[in-house]
Parts: sequence; structure tokens; C-alpha cells
Amino acid sequence: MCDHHNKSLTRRDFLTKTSLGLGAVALSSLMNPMSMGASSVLGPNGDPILGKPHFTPKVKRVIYLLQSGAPSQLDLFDYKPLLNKLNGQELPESVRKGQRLTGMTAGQTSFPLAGSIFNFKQHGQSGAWISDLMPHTAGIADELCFIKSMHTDAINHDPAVTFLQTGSQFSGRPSIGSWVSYGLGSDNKNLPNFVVLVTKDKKGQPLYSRLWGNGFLPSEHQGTQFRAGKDPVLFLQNPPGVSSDTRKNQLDHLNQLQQLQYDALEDPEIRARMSQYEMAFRMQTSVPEIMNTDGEPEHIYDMYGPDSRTPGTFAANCLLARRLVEKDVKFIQLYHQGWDHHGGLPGQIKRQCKETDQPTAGLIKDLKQRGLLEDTLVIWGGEFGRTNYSQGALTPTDYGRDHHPKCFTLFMAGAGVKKGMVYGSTDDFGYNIAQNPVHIHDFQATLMHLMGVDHERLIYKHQGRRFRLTDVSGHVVKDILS
Amino acid sequence: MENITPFLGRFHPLIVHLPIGILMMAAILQLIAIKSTKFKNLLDPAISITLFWGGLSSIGAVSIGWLLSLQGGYDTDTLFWHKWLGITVTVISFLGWLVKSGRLKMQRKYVYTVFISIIVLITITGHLGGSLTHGDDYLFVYSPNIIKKMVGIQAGQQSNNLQEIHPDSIQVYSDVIQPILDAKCVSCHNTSKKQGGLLLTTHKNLMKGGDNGSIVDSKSPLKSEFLNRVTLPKNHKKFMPPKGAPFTFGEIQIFEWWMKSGADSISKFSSEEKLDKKLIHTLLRDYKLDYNPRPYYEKVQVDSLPISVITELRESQFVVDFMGEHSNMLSIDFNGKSISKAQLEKLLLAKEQITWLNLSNCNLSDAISEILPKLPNLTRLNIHSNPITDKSIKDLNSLKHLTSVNVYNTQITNTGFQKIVQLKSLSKLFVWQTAITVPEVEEVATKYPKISIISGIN
Repeated sequence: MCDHHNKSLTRRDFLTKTSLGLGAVALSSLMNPMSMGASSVLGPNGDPILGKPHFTPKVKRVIYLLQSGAPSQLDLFDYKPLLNKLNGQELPESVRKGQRLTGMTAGQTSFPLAGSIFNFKQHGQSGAWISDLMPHTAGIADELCFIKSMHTDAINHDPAVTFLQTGSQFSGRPSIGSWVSYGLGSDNKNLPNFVVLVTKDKKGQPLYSRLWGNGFLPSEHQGTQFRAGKDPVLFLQNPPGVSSDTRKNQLDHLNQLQQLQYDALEDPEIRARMSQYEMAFRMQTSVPEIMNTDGEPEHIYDMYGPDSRTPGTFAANCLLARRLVEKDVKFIQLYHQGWDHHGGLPGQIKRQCKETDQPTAGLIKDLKQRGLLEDTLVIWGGEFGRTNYSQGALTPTDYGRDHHPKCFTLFMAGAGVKKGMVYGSTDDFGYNIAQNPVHIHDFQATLMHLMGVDHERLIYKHQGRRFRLTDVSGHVVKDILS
Repeated sequence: MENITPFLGRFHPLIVHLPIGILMMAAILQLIAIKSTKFKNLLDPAISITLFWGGLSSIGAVSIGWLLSLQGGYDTDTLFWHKWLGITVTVISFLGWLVKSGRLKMQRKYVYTVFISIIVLITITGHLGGSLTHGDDYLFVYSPNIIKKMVGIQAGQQSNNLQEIHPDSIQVYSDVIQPILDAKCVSCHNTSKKQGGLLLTTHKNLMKGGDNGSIVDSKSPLKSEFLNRVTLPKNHKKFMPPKGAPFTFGEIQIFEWWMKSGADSISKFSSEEKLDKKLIHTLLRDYKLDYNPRPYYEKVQVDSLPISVITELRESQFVVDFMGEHSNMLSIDFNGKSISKAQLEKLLLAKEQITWLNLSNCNLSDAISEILPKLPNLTRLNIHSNPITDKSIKDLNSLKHLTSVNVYNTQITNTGFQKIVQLKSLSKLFVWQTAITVPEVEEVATKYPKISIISGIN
């Protein structure tokens, strides 16, 4: 068989290049040591690396509502009447079993158990316990699949949120959305495959763009942040005085230069850059279309709550997420900061819930009535849980909670997962997992499985070893699959 | 010094190879001598010496082996034969030496018999020795089934790992029930013990029952002697098993279900039309076997589309997704602002393969009505947010497997609505923002309780 036409190198090229070969390899690794040994070139605009998904892709799109700072599961979903009964008493060592604490409470002489001051009720046919802080979420309890037995390895925000997003506590690995984009490719050529929306003007644990970074994967798979306001994507608009035609002309010539350079070096990153320029050009029209929500009717705004009219709020971002889903964007990652309630928890959590409860429920309902929930998955949760004892003084109306990696709650709604399900449980103290633990890697494996990817087989070789999202572990939680 | 016996004894497996080698050498030399008359006279003295040393080392091996046997712990029968055959080899070797060195006269054919019996006996003794050291099944445990049958080892118990067998091929009795019996019952109900006259080593024995008759009851399984005994209170004197782990809830459930469905030895989980939900859950949890009912698109078999067709579809602005790596079924989305008639007709290139079709929000016209009836394997249809009318769905009768239809934000009216709900397999229908009226939706919802109709949530 003769397929010279498929070869990017002719024999002559090969001879000229190999004569300089070793030197070139050494030089390129000097210039960019991170890309040494990187493999797998993708076509422009990310042709998927998987020709076929491994399993039926029940979930085609994901909206991940990441509650940064770690919401208190004990005040929202994990109802523990025992804590109210023992309120103020010491956390028994038989429960804590020497578990490490953060520096913020390790020095405390007393660990008074703190029952939630909020009321809990059972909701829907599933009888899920939800506190009065989340009336709207409670209203759609039968759409939700709660995992009450999540646990993680990290005890501090940055490693924990990095772990949740990339499968490793160390920074530098690709985010889940990047893996998805790399593995499954894009369904819409005019928009990025992985879009990030961050609630604006929130304070709290810092978020870095590396959380939605592509790590060692080709850079077109990194998350693109859309911002509220005049410039949704930074540096996307043409400078004043440059018309669209001029810009197109300029890009075409730039492309020719890039192609020359690619022919010479064959660095896949040049291809990535070229496809990103083209994408950016198309986004000049597609992004304003998405961000302009003027056409949304009143009753839709009402569904997402009053904040939804203010760009940059969590509610407005939820509405945008739905619009992005309608345009087949594969992975939409929302971040909402401000859940890190070490002190004054009751007051702060009320505010946080007010900002997020209605938009979350509104989003799920809106997706449902449009039939989008049939192939979209919504995920709500933080990076770890919070302690059952009070950080600082416990008063009848006030307490704080420290970081707790041993258990927390997360919920999902939509395609591929059982509705009205509560999976896993914690002990009566809300400290340890009693049943069906789900590790971060298990959660990630399950998410990939739902999208049709075997987490053990989406692999990227980099710097001489093979990497995957779930590192060397992770089991699909089959019990929650519908 | 009491340990000296076992210490020396354990050299038996080492020493034993000396006579084996030397005596084999004698046989080889003898063979050469027969073949070539030229060497015969030269070789005879050599054969004689070899036999002598073979016999001598045999004495060593036998005596050191005897020391080893004093430790006990070996199967008595096998040991008996191994010991006496070993001694016989020694004796025959010396007999051969006597003949070959001319100290004893013997007919030629008897001389050959001596050599043949040396080789045969060494082989048998060696095999018995191997069985003593490594166990009876050592040699054949990894042999193919056909060899197992030839040597009389029971075949078919290959793998206890159910994950390696396709769920459709798992037999209830031999893959699940018998292993439970083996683990929990057979230590007391086997051919040598047979407590209560009951044997639980095979299906036949289980069905035969014990001294008090049958223990299986396919009409009311929980009343059967078997399930009765394993579900008694744990401190009851008749509780089974008296020692070791009791039956788990899941195991009892499987036994109950198995008895109810006829208690035969060949039935499979998959051959039952309907497994009940609890059993499906148990099998998934305890055995990691997934018997959840599979959707139509996983069951139907169609040919794979040539790459060229898939490329053609992609060039016509369709997003083509496979329903899994072993599936030829397709999920197709249109990814453009407006779909033309020519593009619609491209869908017929994959008419057998399309099972999910999403043509939402693409200025779709009623021309789709020509295409839909020709997609027999469609299970999910999404044509929302389009200027389509009832005409678009005028002919859906051939879509027997369509389970989900989304027509939200279209001009479909009550007439079209009535048509859609006639679909036999339909379980989900999205009708928000259509001309379908609220009382109509309510009426249909009561008439067709199986269909969940989503008409907007407040």
C-alpha cells in the first residue's frame, strides 16, 4: 500500500531533518521543557481523540456549578438531629479517631458539637432532607440525585479544588472540561468547547485560571472565561478603527506565516494557536449573541430570580449556562465563591443560599421544560465539607465550621443519573462516612462514564509517563446511573 | 538433633533426579547399542557401570525419601505406590547391572524388558512424586478443557470471576448457586461426610434432597427445607450453616428467585423476561452483574456505516456521535442555523443507524415528515424550536421504538399531540410553548399514565 499523500514528511525532508535531528530535539526541549515528549496532535479545532465514545454518551453537556469555599453540608442537606441533641458537648475521640485538623482549629482546646440552627424537612417523593435555606432546590428534590458520602484527600482550599477539577492536588494537570474537550471534541465550531463563568465581585478563596487550564493537553482545550460587561472575552473585539474585513485579511496572512512555521517545526502548539485565532474570529459574532439576554422573556428571568437581570451574578450566569447548552457547548463551569464560613456561618450561609438557591433550581427547571435535561447534567457542590464542631465560640445563634474532607454532599440532576435518589450516608455525628463512600476520583470516573468515556482509557502521554484524570484510581458509581 | 530426619528428607526431591538421569542415560546407551552393532561391544561395559551407579543412587534417593515420608502429611495411597515403585526401580536397576556385567545370564528379550520397565516405572514414580509435592491437580489445572476431560478432571469450573463472562451467558446454577454451596455447605455435605444424607456437590444431588426428602420447593421457596434452615435464628440448633459465615440476604434472595423460576440447572438470568428490581439491584451490588433492562439502541443490530458516509454527514453540518465503541448506532445533531431539504435527505444515508436525532432550532420545515417514517430505529426525536406544524409528524406509525419526543416551541396543535401519544413505546413528551392546550394535556396525561408529559414547570 502506498500512501505518501498522508505523510507530512517526504524522504528528502526526513533526511534533511534527521541530520539535524538530535540537535533539534535538544534545542526544542531547552526552549520548552514542558512539552518534551508530548504526543498526540489534533486537527484544527480539536478533532476528538476518541473516534467513538467508549460507552453510550448519555450526557452530552455538563454544567458544573462549583460552590467554591465548601458549603456546609450539615446546614444544607446532611440532617443530623444528634448534633442538635448534643449541641455544645465535646466531639468524642471515638468519632474523630485522630483525624488531622487544619491549623485554624487544631489549637482549639475544645471541639463543641454544633447542631444546625436551621430547620430541615423531607421533600418530594424521595424524602430527601433539605434545610429551609434552600426552598427552591427543595421544590425540585425529585429531580436530584444526592451523594452524601463524598470524600476527598485534601484539607485546604487550593489543593482540594485543584484535586476536584484536575484529579491531582498539584497544579498543572488538565481540568475535567479540558479532558472532555480533548476526548470528545466540539459540537459547535463557533464557540469554545469549555466555557467558564465566575460570579463577579465575590470575595473568598481565590480562583486561578489554571483550575480551568489545559495542563499538558493542546491549548485549544483550555476553558475560556466569559465575563459580564462590555468585553465578555478579553481582547476578543477588534481595536477601534479595525474593520472585520481588515481583521480577516490580517488573520489570513498570519495563518500563512504560522503554516510556514508549522511546516518547519511541526510543533502541534502552532496548530493549536492557528485554530484558536480562527475560533476567536468566529467568536466575535457568536459570543455577543450568547451574552445578549435581552430576548429572554420576563417569566424566564423570574424563574432564575431577581439577580438574573444583573450581569455577572450567579443567577445571570446560570441563565447564560442554559444559553450555552442550547448552543451545544460541552462543558460549562460556573464558580461561585464565598462559602468558606469559619465563623458567623448562619448569617453568611443565608446570603449565599439566597444568591444560589433559586438560580440553581431555575436552571434545572428551565432545562427540563426544554427537554435539555435529557442530555445535560447539572452538578452542584463544593471541594470538601465542613466540621460538625464549631470553630471558635458556639453560641445559640452563631458558630463557624472548619474544613472537613471526610464527608460532604454533592448533588446532580439530569441525564444518566437516577432522579430522587440519595446515595451514601454519614454517621449520626455527620463526621465519618457510614455507607457507600464516593471519592473524588470515583466522582470523576462516573462523570466521564456518563459522557461516554472510560476514565481508564482517556490517556495522554507527557514527559515520558501516561496521565489520566483519575490518576491510578476511581470506580464508576454504578448505583446512581439510570 | 531431632530435626535431622526432616532436614535430610527434604533433599529427596533434589537427590531423586540423580538416578532418574543416570538410568535414563543407561537406556539411551542401550538404544544406541541395539542400533549399531559396531558400538555394541564397546558400550556394554559402559551400560553396566551406568546401571550400577543408577541403582546405587536409587538406594540413596529411596532411603532419603523414606526419611521424608516419616514426616507424614502425604496422601497414603499415592505415597504407598510412590515408595514401592521407587524400590522396584532400584531392584530392577541392579538386576540389569547383574545381566550387563555378565554376572547373570538372561535371554535377550528379557533384557529389553528390564530397560523398558525402568523407563516406565521412573515416569510413573516421578509423576506420583510430583503429585505428592504439588498436589493432584498441579499438572492439569491450566490445561485446556479437552485435556481435562481426557484425564478425568471435571471441566467447566474455569473461572470464578463472573466479570469475565458475558452477563447473558451466566448460568444461575453453575455460576452462582453452586459456588455458594461450595463455599458454605459442601464441607459437610460431600461424598465423604454426607451429613443428613445430603449431598450438595451437584444440581442432581441438591434436587434429590437428604434423609428427610426434598429440600427444594419451587412453589413456595421460603417454605423449602433449604431456605428454612438457612433463615432460622442463628442460635437455633437446626440453623445452617452451623459454622462459618451464614447466608447473606442477597444469597437468600437469589436462591428464592431461582427456586421460584423452576430450580433447574441451565437457566440463565438473561433468559428470564423480567428480573424483579430487587434482584437486579442485588446482582449489581453483590456480583457486579448488570441486568438492568437495556434500551432498544443497545439491543438492535445494524451494519456499520462506511467512513465515507459519516464524512458526508459531517460535511453536511451534522454532528455524528456513536452510541459507544461497540455500537453502530448513531446520535445525530444538526449544527447549523438552517437545514435544507438536501441536508435532510442525507439523513437517509444512515436511516438504520440513527437512533437519536436532534434537529432543534434550525428552521426545520414540514419536509421532515418525509424523512421520519424512514428511520425505523429512532428512539429519541428532538425537533423543538422550529416552525413546524402537525404536518411534520403526520406519519409516525413506523416508529415503533420512539420513546422520547421533544416538540417544544413549535406550532404543533392538539391534533398532532393526539398523534404523538399514540406511539407505542413513548414515555416522554415535551410540549411546552406549543399550540397544545392545557386541558388537552391534562386529559391525555390521565389517559396515558405511562407517558410523562412536560409542558413547562412553574
